[in-house]
Amino acid sequence: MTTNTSIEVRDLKKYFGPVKAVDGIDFKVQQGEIFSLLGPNGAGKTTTISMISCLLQPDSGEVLVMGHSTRSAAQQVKAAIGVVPQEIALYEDLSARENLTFWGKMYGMRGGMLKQRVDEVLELIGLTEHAARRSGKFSGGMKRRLNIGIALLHHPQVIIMDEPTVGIDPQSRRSILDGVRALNREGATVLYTTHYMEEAEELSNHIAIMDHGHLIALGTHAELIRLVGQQTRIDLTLNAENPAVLPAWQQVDGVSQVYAEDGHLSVLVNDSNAVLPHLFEAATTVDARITGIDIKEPNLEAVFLHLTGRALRDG
Amino acid sequence: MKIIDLALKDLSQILRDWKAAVFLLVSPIIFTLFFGFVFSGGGGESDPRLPVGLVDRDQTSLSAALLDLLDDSTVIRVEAGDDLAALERKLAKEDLAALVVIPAGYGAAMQDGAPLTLDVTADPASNAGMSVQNELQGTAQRLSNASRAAQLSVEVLEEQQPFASSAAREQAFAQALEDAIATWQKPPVTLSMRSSALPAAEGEAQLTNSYAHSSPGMMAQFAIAGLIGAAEVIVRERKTRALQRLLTTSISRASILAGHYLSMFIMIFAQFALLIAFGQVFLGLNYAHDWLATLMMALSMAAAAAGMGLLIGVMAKTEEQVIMFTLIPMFILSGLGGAWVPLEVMPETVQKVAHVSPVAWMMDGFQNILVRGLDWRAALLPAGALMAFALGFTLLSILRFRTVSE
Amino acid sequence: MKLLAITLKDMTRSFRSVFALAFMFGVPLLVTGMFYLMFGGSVGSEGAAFTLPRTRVVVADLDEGSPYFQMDGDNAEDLQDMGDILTHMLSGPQLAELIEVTFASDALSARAAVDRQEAGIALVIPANFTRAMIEPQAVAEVELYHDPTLTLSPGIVRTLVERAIDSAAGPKLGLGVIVKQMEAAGLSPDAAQQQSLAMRLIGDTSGAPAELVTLRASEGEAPTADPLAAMLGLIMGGMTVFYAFYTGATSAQTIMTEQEHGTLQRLFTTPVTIPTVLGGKYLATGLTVLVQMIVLLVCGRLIFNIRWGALPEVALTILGTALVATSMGIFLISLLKTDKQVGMVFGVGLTITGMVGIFSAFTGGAPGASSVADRFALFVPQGWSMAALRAGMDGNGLVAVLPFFLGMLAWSVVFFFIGVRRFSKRFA
Ligand SMILES: Nc1ncnc2c1ncn2[C@@H]1O[C@H](COP(=O)(O)OP(=O)(O)OP(=O)(O)O)[C@@H](O)[C@H]1O
Ligand SMILES: [Mg+2]
Repeated sequence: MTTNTSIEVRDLKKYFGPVKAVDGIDFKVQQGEIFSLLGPNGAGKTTTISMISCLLQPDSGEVLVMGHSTRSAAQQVKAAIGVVPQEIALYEDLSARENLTFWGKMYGMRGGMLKQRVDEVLELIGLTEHAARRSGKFSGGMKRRLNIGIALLHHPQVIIMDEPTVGIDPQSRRSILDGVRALNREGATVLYTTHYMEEAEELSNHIAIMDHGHLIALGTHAELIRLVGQQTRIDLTLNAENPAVLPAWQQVDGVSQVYAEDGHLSVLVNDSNAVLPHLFEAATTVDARITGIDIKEPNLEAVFLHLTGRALRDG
Repeated sequence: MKIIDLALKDLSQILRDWKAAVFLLVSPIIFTLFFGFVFSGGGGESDPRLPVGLVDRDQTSLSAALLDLLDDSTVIRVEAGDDLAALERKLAKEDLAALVVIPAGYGAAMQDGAPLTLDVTADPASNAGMSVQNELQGTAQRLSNASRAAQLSVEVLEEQQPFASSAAREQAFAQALEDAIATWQKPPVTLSMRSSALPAAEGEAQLTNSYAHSSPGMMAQFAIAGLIGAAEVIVRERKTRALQRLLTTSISRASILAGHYLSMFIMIFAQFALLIAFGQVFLGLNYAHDWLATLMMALSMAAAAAGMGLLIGVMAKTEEQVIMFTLIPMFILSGLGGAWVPLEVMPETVQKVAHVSPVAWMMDGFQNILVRGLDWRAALLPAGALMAFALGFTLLSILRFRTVSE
Repeated sequence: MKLLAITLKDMTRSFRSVFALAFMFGVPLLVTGMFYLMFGGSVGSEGAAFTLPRTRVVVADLDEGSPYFQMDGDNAEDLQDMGDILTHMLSGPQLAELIEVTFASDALSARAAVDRQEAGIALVIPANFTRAMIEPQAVAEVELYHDPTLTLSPGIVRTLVERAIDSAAGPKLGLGVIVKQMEAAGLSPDAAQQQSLAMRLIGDTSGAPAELVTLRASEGEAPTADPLAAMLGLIMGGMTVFYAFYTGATSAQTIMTEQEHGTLQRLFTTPVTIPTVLGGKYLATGLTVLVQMIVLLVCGRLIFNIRWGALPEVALTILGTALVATSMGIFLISLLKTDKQVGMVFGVGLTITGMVGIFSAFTGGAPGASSVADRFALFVPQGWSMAALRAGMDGNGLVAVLPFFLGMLAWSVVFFFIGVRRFSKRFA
């Protein structure tokens, strides 16, 4: 490993009985980058994160965090990371400040330093005004913010966030994402799971796409898009079902893939401007009438679709 | 039918934890045996009389006569000895209920008409201590009477013709005393105790009697204990928002409550049935003597307890509260209702207040059946009262449930 | 220190929970208060302990008297025969606190009153009652018919009646003995002589019977100045022990709830070790039990005037109980797999062991019951705690408390190791 690698995952496996939750994955997270783990429900993201944060023992393979193995140096790993669990985990009968103070102590902080840091984090997560209220009385979004704040207290070198933005209003989400970027600018490495592809697109330096326990793609946003070529997706809606239209479009020049999905039809093309008129012509030849068109520039969704033949279901 | 589906779902949730089910059957049995054993005096000895150590420091014909009289006692069993220290150790280990010392000079003083007192060591606060004291007082009184008669007899004889020697006088006294003791053993007026109890074998009477109290008592207490699991099902249903989901289906609120009620009723009734069968077969309790009466009591108590469970389920917000709302009433209602200690020994005010507890009514009903040997008519009032409890609890639950909106 | 931070956090949380507070302090005080009202409050005056409820006795006095028995014509109550004297005594003011006498015209209706549960006891005085007391050959049987559910009061009434019969029959029996002795000596007393002898015997036996027994309290059971406080002491002590174990278990239960809420897992992502987490929990639980016991015992002293014994003994008992209650809590929780089993195992598991353990608090009176209950109680840790508390209350000194303390220590060690092992395995 090199000195500028924060997290290194080697051939990691975890099976739960017959379920191969994580089935041999490898990746490296460079120091100071934001790394997203993207995948549908049950892909194995949380399981991977749990092994990185020493909560689960891998069945095989190895995880190194800041050069420390999770197997042999769990305490060093834990000291280096701040984990935001997917499920909110805080003491609802303690106030926001009490929660932060307690968790800060767990990270080995104390005294005036802790107090000052608690104030900073309260500011960061926008809960300064509510610091003395019992967190059980918070709204869902406020709890989420506190849930995140706890992981930031001790200036961790690596912040591991498991879907931190689920259930948060767009405005708060914006501020959390800004916060993550700010921490990252201060030097923290961020490992981030989500199934919001826009979030991954917007934030990350590197993105790994997981499915069924496997890494099916890894790279920068641009690299991943290149996997599907410069293809654009055109979603078309017909006035009535017409099975003949798919083969007809398949024949059109410049069309690389055609498929039906959720009541509308999708066509992957290299140049939408060139192909669109021909799609109309082809439709007419089989007596189909196009009633709706939606043109989508290449994105991660398309990448996932390209690689798995399924849509990445997200919110 | 949806209500039944719901009840079956509840039951399978409650009984998924089979250990809990076993608990609900085994623990009342253990406690029935335990309480029964404890209140029958325990020890499994064939002689139910209280063991009393006795040291005779007097060694006169009068002290011997006292021992004679005590031999006939139905209350105490004398264990005479010389070694006071050994007997004291036995008393300390509670192998003896009391220790009696006949003081030196006891006989002489009694003959002089100024009797000395017997020295009794016992726990004055215990019933055993009281019983021993009473029995000794009565026996000493008889002895004193006998002694007085013998004394008088000697005096009368002496008036007619003085005794040849003091030994002859002693002899005459001893003879008269012996006669007097003998007549006291056959008094002209006797007292017979009778009761309307169900006929039971003489030897078994006491033990059976104590189970007759502890068996229904523990049945009631653990019917309430069992509500924890059932009420938790209701609370969890609300916490996991499964209730809201249920309310979006076509099932009505009333049906939901009815389903929960049914599951609890079935569970408690099954518990009763098994415990009653156990009592009948293994404890020699005569539940079968009037099946109808027993059935009435079991059904009505199950109805009342299920109503209580329903109320706990709709009142409690968390599983912890379920435990609190169940265990506190369990202690108070069974304690007050006479499930542990018979109401008989509690003050009159308590006895009256006791019937705010359904357990008291259940005890009444089963006492009528098991001890008084009465038939179904004697179960009417207690069963009716329990049904009123059932109705009251259920109504409260419905009122409360109507307002459970979230 | 992280361990102390965990302890502090746990204690803050439990003392903030209304539920926990109610369970820790409210319920034991409430139950003791209930017993106070049941046994003491209704009496009021100078703590005169239990007054038994009055037993209703229905008397059928069928006594027809005897021509040989004449009462002085001028007795105010118009007593005609021995039966009248007996009923007069039973309904007299001395016994008014014990029994309430009503009358029935015949044996059948007296028994029927018992069967209808209008009375607890029917007393049937036979027609030849007086004659049996007077005439040489006559015998009679008094019948005491009682409700079979009554166990105490029939015995009490029986004693009363037997005493009365004894003193009434005394002169006849005595006279019989004297006459027999005289006849043996060749004398034959005439009627007048017998009458005068009988009068002498009656003169001797009349008047209040002397106390013929002195009762002393057995070793170690120093007569308590305040028997109500003594009884409440047992009950309050029992409640304190019972709920100390509850607190031990509910505090330990936070391990389960933390797991359910994910905070336990989160703790394990921070640089704390499993022993630190368990140690913090253990300390929090132990301190909570300690606080609870101290508060309860102090309340018992202040509210109910209970004397718990000398400070060192009580301190040892509290310490031992806190240790064993905590360890048992950890042990019990380590047996659970999911949060769902908690209620049942707690409710019923702790209730059962608790009831066995503190049972002696409720059997103070039952004959023979105490020793049996005490022996059973030592099968559960609560029994040891209760025994230690009682040894302290009896004022038997540290030496008497020590064995029970060591017993609690032994229980603690066993529970602690099993519990901690199971948890360490589970979280490793
Ligand atoms: N403790 C467990 N026991 C058994 N199976 C598990 C366990 N934890 C996870 N799994 C299974 O492993 C697979 C991966 O789960 P994981 O939680 O890692 O998915 P995820 O990618 O985080 O999904 P999501 O986006 O829904 O959070 C799933 O099939 C899940 O059912
Ligand atoms: Mg997940």
